[in-house]
Amino acid sequence: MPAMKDALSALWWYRLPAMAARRKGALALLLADGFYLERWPQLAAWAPLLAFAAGVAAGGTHFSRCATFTCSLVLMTGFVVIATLAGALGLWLWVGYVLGDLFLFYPQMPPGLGRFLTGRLAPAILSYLLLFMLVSLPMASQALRRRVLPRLATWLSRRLIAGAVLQGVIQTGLAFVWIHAVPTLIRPVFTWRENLPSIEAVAPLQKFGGVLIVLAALAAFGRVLLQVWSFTDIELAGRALDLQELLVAGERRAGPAVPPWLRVSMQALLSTFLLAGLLATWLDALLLWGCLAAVLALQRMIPRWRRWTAVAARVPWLARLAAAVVASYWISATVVKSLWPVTSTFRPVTVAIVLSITVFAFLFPLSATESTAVGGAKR
Amino acid sequence: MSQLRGPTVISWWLFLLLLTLLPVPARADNCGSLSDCYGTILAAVVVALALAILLFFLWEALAAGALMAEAAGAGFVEGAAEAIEVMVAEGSGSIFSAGEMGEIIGWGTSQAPAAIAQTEAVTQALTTEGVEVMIENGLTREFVEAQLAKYEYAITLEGKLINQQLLPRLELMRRLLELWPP
Repeated sequence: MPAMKDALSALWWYRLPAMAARRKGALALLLADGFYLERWPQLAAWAPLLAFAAGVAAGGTHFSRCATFTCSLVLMTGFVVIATLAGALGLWLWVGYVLGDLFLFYPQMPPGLGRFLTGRLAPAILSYLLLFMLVSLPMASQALRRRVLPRLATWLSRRLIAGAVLQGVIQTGLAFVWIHAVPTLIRPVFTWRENLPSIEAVAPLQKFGGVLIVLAALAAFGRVLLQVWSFTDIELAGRALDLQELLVAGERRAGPAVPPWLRVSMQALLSTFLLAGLLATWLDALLLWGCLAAVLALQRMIPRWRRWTAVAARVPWLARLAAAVVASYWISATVVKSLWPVTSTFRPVTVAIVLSITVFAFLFPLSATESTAVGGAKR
Repeated sequence: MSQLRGPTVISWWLFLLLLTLLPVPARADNCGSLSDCYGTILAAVVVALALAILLFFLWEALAAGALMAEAAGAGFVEGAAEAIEVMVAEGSGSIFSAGEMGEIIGWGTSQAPAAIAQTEAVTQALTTEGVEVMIENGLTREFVEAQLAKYEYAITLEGKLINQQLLPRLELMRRLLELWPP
């Protein structure tokens, strides 16, 4: 059994991340997130398997007869807490959920390709995407903490508690955004199957979303402390740094070059798919896709206005985000108030989103985004 | 690693709690239509804002995905380098951390070619007078010996060495000890 334990540990925490590093750096780093669990060798060896099995059970049962994961606060909270404690465990949980949902919860194929695509596959993919966003919240909050606030993050990393609190605060903000977005975005799981969304699919997030936020924040706080304590084992700390070097410095095979117009189109398509819960007709979808593609194209064209780009780059990222949020709030309030009495569709929200994201595009032109990503300290 | 005092921690947590206790606009039913999904205009505005922010982060991640991931990936080693620094500093009995000692020596601090070249340049330019200045600034022989031992140990670790700073810094430590005044 010790040999088995060592082989499993090496597989989860060395071989798979190293294999992924040859192709996708992001996947490799996600697979390595939670390396500190090696402080407890048995846990490190078996936890990914257990997470996968728990994911299959969750996907196969949803812990209810409800069509989607949003019905279970326990399931969502479990996902975000586990993913926060170790991103790799969150990933295995998610993979297990996807397989369990696809093959166990919906074992029978709907008749006809059209019904399979619209009634089964597309809603399933959308719900998996939303769940993946929840699982990747911790990684996103880590990235924000380090990229957006590099100096503060570096300063705080030497002050353990403050660093842990900052992690918790950022994760709180992201979880707040997620719980407000998902009840709307999950609608197609029902509407594409020609049903109305069920109350039990929406109520847990709307009524008890605060519980998820608090637990996500506590987990983020606890993760920092737990990991830092784990690395008081110097040998483990050294191995972690060695693994990081391996993953970051590894050569990657470059993927095929994508022309900008195709990239913009695909990105707009993905965004439209994600926002499908707001759309009433195919025409709405086409219009939204066109608007988002135009905003994305605009974001790429703004760098030609060098004076504006220079001004934007001079303002700290967080200040620009705050300005974008305030402006978007004002725009959204104006649009929604004006259109609220005249429609029962979600068009007011859709229009508000398009206008808001345009504000974001202006304040975050692509060149500034790229330069920030390359040299985080500039932000 | 110094820690914040109790009242500061409590105020951070109060802020966190305040965020989670922000009044959530009343919403109702099953999201079948606009007014059904969001009971009030304010609720619809908050959701529109949340969706815009979500979309913005998605676009940011797609635009700079690998680099954002790299930033996030640093999370899995958080505390590792600091732990080693503390061990080295404690082992040497110095009041300086390894990072501060590094600043005194002036070595490169990343895996970038420029940083590695900087470490090599420091080694090549090192003189007895230069070492004396470093000693005046707080560099200790114990620290240098501990670093040398750590780098020699790291080189013997299993697997291919990826840390490009390892050999240049090893050379730098050896050179420092060679030039160390008696």
